[in-house]
Amino acid sequence: MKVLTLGSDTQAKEIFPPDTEFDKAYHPGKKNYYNIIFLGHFLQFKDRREISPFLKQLRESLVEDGELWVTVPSLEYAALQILKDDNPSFDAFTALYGDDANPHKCGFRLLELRLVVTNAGYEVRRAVQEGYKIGMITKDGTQEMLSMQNLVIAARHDGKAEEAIE
Amino acid sequence: MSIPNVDVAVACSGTQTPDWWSPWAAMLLEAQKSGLVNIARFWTLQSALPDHNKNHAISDSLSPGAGIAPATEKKRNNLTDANRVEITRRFLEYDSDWIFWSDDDTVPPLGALTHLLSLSREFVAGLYYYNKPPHNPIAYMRREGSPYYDPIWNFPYGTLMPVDSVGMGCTLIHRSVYERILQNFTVVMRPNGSLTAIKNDRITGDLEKFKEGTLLEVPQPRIENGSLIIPVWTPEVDDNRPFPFYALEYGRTEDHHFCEMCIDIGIRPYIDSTVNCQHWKNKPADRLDFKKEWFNHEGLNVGF
Repeated sequence: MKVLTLGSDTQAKEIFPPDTEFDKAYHPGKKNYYNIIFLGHFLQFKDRREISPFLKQLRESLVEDGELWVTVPSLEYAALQILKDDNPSFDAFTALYGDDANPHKCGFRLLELRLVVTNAGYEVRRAVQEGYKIGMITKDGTQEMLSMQNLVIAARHDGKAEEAIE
Repeated sequence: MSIPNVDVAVACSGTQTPDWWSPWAAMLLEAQKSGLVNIARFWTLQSALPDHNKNHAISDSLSPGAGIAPATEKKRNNLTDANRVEITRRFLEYDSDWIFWSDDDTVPPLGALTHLLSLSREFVAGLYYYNKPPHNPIAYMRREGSPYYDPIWNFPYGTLMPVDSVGMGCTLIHRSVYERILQNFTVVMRPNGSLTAIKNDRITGDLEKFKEGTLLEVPQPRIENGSLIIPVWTPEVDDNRPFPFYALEYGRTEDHHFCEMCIDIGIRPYIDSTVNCQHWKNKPADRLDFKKEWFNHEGLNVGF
């Protein structure tokens, strides 16, 4: 299985089997090549105008029925924490803004993430909000916190719906 | 590119308000007009309210001698499950690719059918909401380690995810789902005459053991090592009741029964939270309704 992973190494290692060999750099020249492209907390660091062309480009690198997996911080979750809690946890703000070294340039609710992937020509197969662990560096060292992310799994599928089922 | 044929099914068709008819018909007309779908057939049967006493209409609605409903079926009350299995049987007798289930009180939004088709899911549903608080969606996850289900609750708009059970109020199912169930399950009759289906790989021993016996010779259901053991046998060849895809039993919705069969053969229902239906109720049932039925039953026409 050929997997390209951009973004969080930790997540990629949690998701894929231990013997998976990852490409960690993207070469646009590789067409019809990857079975899976995993963007683990990666898209939010790109300028929002670059997202759609980038996803379209990645699509060309997938084999037919190859899958794109995208995770991003959940804006819904972050906003809810901030609204309902007078002292929201730090991860809510990190989900929105990133950190000083790596500020976010854009953000996604699940719906927008799904739409941008669909509009780039993919067939969305799953779109969910789910928990994930985030490592926070504090004065006491690295602290693991639970937060929520949005996950979209979509496929490059050039056939029509009926063929996908049969 | 061939256009998929979709049968539209409403398991219950009682009295609907224009609030239901107009947007429901508009949704279907819009789908047909899109050129992406061919609405092949409509299947509707009357009176499928799941309250165990209003559901006689399905047999009444069948013309005598049609050869579809056996005499035994005509005598009993028919419930939502009976209507659904009858519709499913007829759907499978023809050649449409999909069946789109709607209820007589759910109104899918414009574009619902074409959108659900575009998802390439063999079993996918939009959401409609319980008509009383807390207005949860009629879609469920099985509580871990429990036989019970909880409605889905904490999910963002835009969710497209597998669930353990979903209602049939706005649900698109590919015919292959039913065909795979037919291939993988065997119908058996229980001592009370009802039909159920057991997955083939869970059947061992002689299925004909009680076939020739009289009912008196059939042992009573019993519990053995924590398992309820009920005698079953193959129905007679002339028992032409439909395959029990849906079963309203034990106080559970018939949708759970169907979804459990699907999951048993590896098919998960999906919900798409971008497809949100209205859930209409015509009017509340109250004492006046009861009196009307009661007076009618007593032969008193007092001009309600």
